[in-house]
Amino acid sequence: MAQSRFPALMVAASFGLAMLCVPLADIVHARQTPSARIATSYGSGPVALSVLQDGEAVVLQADGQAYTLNMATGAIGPQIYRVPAGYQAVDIASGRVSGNLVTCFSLNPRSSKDGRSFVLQVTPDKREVWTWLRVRGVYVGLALEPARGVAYAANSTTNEVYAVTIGNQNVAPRRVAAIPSAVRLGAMAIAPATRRLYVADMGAPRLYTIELATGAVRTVDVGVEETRALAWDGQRKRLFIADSGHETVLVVDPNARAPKVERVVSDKRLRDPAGVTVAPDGTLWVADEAGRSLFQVSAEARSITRTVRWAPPKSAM
Amino acid sequence: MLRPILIAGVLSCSLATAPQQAEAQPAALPPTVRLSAWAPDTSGTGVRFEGLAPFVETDPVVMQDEIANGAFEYAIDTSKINWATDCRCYRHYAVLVKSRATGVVTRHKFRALPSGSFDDQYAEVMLTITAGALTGDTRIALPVASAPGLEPRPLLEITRMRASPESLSLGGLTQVRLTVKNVTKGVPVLITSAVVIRPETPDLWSGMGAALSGAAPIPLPADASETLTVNIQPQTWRAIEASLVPTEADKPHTSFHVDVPYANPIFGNRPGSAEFTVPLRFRPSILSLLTSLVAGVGLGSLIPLLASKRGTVRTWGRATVTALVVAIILELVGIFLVANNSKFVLFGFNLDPWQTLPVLLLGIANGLLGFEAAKKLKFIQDKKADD
Repeated sequence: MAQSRFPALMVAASFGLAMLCVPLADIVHARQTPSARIATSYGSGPVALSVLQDGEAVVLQADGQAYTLNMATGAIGPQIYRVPAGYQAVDIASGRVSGNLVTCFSLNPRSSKDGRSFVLQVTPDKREVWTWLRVRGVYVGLALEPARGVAYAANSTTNEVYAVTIGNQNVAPRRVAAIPSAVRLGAMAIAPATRRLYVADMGAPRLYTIELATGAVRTVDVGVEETRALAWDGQRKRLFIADSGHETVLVVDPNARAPKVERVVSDKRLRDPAGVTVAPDGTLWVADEAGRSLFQVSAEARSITRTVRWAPPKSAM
Repeated sequence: MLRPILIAGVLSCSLATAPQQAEAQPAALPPTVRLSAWAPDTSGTGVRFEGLAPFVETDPVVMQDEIANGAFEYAIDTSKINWATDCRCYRHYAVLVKSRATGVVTRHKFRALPSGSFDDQYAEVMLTITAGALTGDTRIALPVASAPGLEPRPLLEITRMRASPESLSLGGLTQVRLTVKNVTKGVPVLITSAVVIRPETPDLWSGMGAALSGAAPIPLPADASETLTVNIQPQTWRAIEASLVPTEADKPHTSFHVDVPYANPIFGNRPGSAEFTVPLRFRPSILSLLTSLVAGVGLGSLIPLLASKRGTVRTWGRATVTALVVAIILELVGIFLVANNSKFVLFGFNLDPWQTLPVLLLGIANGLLGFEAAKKLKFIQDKKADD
């Protein structure tokens, strides 16, 4: 009996040996885990900023990383989003749409092979909505109209402005205005109360106002050298212009009969104003890309009141 | 405080105005500064420089050279160049000019509008400074680059020593060494963040990581190299599964993709990435092969014992030992032959003595023939005699 069981036991044992022992030798000397080095990302300067909610703004870094900024303390918060490597984020606009916080990015492809541009909408829980901008071109300026749940994107190639429905990628972008006389449309700002859109011309010293209700376009000569950002001050009904050519921030009432452009701040520290936004307390926050700094500016005192060196917290990749 | 100025190379200088004119007509207005376009060929590829309105510079600046027989001193600042999508240009190159007549320093900013696809490099352009009747020009070297996305090739090149797939232990930690080289024409490159490793089959691995010599950012001068070590550890069972079917020795079982992110610090850390795919072939350790062979022989030798119920434990043991010795010899012969470019292909399957399954099959075959071999070698008696 014992002898008849022996071969069967040996077969089972051999199978076990074959299946278990072969990799055993490999497993035994493989207990050490590979040391994955977690390095920090090497960023670049801030290029755009937008108020997200009371006291908090979102700052876009040139390489597509977005961080929060506490506008009361000047503290740079954690990275909230990183644009996929194949895209270049040019501008951001953020706000609360239908009760939800949303940050929009105007995205252009880095490679000329895939020429698709998008308005990307990201919520704090990292939910993404990609709205494809079907008309080809380089999209630059972005403005958000939270009350209507619409973002506006300026196509600097065709000189058209498109409206994108927030939260629904299946709704095709709608053309709001075309400005054939423009050299190159760029930065945008919106006056929500009057539903008026302000669009900078990157190739000419002027900007355009677009009545969103009627689509009417008006040209305003402002004598800027190189507009990189616009910000609307809804309380005082004035428009701030970041002019990196003149290395200054300008202010103008674009709805005046004879708009008068004034310098808000000209400071040696401010060399490359690339982004500007108006904080709820009425102060300005200016992003200096080449200077890698954020400046809080008092428009009334016409001076820099706070300098925040752009050093966002290092994030694990 | 002196602002940092990057010195652009001065290549040659010519004088267009006599020195006496410089003394007779001191420049009162800000001088006009021009940079010529750079066009390496007639294809339209190149860079055009567009000037902005000049400023009076109030910060002290260290001048680098002089022009127009000393009528102007100048310095080139390329430390603040960034790509701007809105103008499809690099901005700003700055030329600081000091008029010796007035002592006023003016800053002249330029946008560079690239067209076409070309390597990041230093290009010779003509700098011309004019004030009234005074004119001087000189050749300078400025960094130029094509628009992002139009670079003809990555600034870094990744290579590895061997052309065949990397051999990988089935269960252990294996290191794969790659070389990352800066292949630009004189432009430094920064490896900006952690290297990204993307396996072809993610669930095949229990661990995967990459390490460079230091912490990022790692500066890499032109022509310099950096060793990238990739540590990989497969999940043994899945690795065996992936490598079970015998294939050509140079055919990979799987692969992983390496992505080295970098930036060009001259152009505002313009990002890019160098990519490379490493083919992998699992190879069991000698101990694993031996275990496989022993298991195969044991299994194979049990079949005749079970089938005909012949022999005793003693004769079975002798037959098995004989089969094992023969199998080891055959395995060693196989390894030797394969090392010398021999192949054993059966029904389209390449039986590689370095793979687990062929070795197991070899063991089984030897085990099956163990009794016969032992009889031939007279280690055991004939069946009748044995019984």
